[in-house]
Amino acid sequence: MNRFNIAIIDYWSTSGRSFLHRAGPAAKVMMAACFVAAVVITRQIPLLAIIYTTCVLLLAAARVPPLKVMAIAAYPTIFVLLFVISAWDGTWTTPARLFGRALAGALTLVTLLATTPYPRVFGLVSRVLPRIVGEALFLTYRAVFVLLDMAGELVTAARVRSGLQLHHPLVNLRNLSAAMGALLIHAIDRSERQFDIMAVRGYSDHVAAPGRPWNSLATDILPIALGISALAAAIILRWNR
Amino acid sequence: MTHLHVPDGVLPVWLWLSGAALAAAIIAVASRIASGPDFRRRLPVLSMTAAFMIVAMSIPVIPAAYHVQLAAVAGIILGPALGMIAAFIVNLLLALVGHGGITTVGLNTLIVGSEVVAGWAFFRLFRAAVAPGVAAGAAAFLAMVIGAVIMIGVVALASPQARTLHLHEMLAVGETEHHAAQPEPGAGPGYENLSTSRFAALVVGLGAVGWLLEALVTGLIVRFAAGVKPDLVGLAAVHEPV
Repeated sequence: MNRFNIAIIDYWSTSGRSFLHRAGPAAKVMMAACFVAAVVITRQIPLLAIIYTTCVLLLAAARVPPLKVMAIAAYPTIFVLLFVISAWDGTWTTPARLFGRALAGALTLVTLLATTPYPRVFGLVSRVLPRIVGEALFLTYRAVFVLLDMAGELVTAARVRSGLQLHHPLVNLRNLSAAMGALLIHAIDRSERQFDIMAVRGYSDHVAAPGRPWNSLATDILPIALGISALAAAIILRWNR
Repeated sequence: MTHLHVPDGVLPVWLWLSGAALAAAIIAVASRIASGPDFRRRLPVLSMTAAFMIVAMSIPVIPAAYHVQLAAVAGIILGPALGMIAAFIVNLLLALVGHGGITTVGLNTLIVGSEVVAGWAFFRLFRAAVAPGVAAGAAAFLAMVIGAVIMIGVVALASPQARTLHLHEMLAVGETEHHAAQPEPGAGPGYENLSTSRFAALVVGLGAVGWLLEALVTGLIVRFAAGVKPDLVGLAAVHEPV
C-alpha cells in the first residue's frame, strides 16, 4: 500500500536512540549535503561505492535495518534505466556511474530521514522557504499519514465488496477512481475541519517547532567529518585526474 | 509510470542548478500571490491536496509500475499558484524518501508544476463545453503531454548537440578544441552521450499508456467530485482557486 514507506521511515527516525539519532539535525543535513555534492561532482565509481557503503554502515550502526533502507532507496533505479539506455555508449562504466550516483544520492537522503525526526529536518529546511511553503510542508507530511490510513481502509473495503478483481482491469479502474474521489472529498472536508481546529488552538501563522539545530560536539563531529571528507575527496579526485 | 522523477547525477550541474533557480523564483512569486489575507484558510487545503497527490502515487492502478500523480486534479482544486507550491512540496517530500533526486527537485517541480498549471488552464477552457469529467480527463491528458515535452526538452538541453551549440555560441570554442575536450567513452560524467531521440522514444513509448490512465482516473475522480462537492472543482462560486 505505502509505496514510499513513509510510515516505516518515520518510525525508524523517532524510535531510534543511536549516536546518529542523537546527532544534531544540522550536522546530519550538512553530511547529507556534502555526500550529495560529492555524488554529483565525482566521476569516480569507487568513491560512489564508498559513499553508499558509508551510509549502509551508518544505518547498521544506528540499528536501522540497512537492507530495508537500501530497498526503499533503490526506487530511482527504474528512472535511471531510461537515462542509461539513452546514454548507452557500450561501456559498463557509464551505467555504473549513473546508477551509482542516483542510488548513493537516494540512500543518503533516506539515511537522513530514517535517523532524524521529520519536524527537525523540516524545521531546518523551512528556514530557507517562504512561510506558506514551510508551513504546508509540515501539514502535508502529517496529512499523508491520515490519508494513507483512509486510503488503506477504502481499498480494503473495495476488495471486500469485490470492487477490485484481478481479471477486470476496467472495473477496477472505475472502482478505484471512485474510491480516490471519495478520499479526495474526505481529505478536503478534513482540511476544512483542520483549519477550524487550528484556529481554536490559537494557530498564529506558525506550525514549525524546529528545536536545536546542533547537539554536542561529541555527537555532531562524526557526521560532519564524514561529509567533509567525502566532499574533499570528490573535489581532489575531480581536479587532479 | 505516468511521469518521471529525475534522479540525482544524471544531468549536468548547470542544468539542475538553472532548474532550481527558476523553480525558486516561481515558488517565491506563487507564495507571494498565495500569502493573501485568506492564507490561513488555504493552508490546510493546500496540504491535503499535496498529501492526496502523494497517497494517490502510492496506489498501484494496474499491477505494474504505473501509478497516477493527479497533477491536473491538484491544479483544478488549487489553481496555478497554490498548485505550483503543492508540486514543490510533493517533489521535496518524495526526494527525502528516495523517490527522485534532491538536486533535481527544482527541475521536477517545473515539470510537475507545468502539468498542474496546464491541467488547471485546460479544465477552465473545456468545462463550459463538455461534462466536468470529460473536461478534466482531456485536461489531464494534455497536461501529461506537456509535462513529457518539457521533460524531453530538459534532456535535449543536456545532450551533446545542445552543449556544442552552447559552447560555440557562448564561448566561441573551435571545432578542434571542442573535440579534443570530449572524454573517451565511459570516462565522462555519464550524461555526455544522452540521446534526445532515444529518450523521447522511451518516454513516449512507456508514458502513453500512463497518460491515458491518468486521464481516465482524473476524469472519473472529477466526475465524482463534481457530483458530490461541485465547489471543489470550481463548478460553484463558493471556491475559487488561486
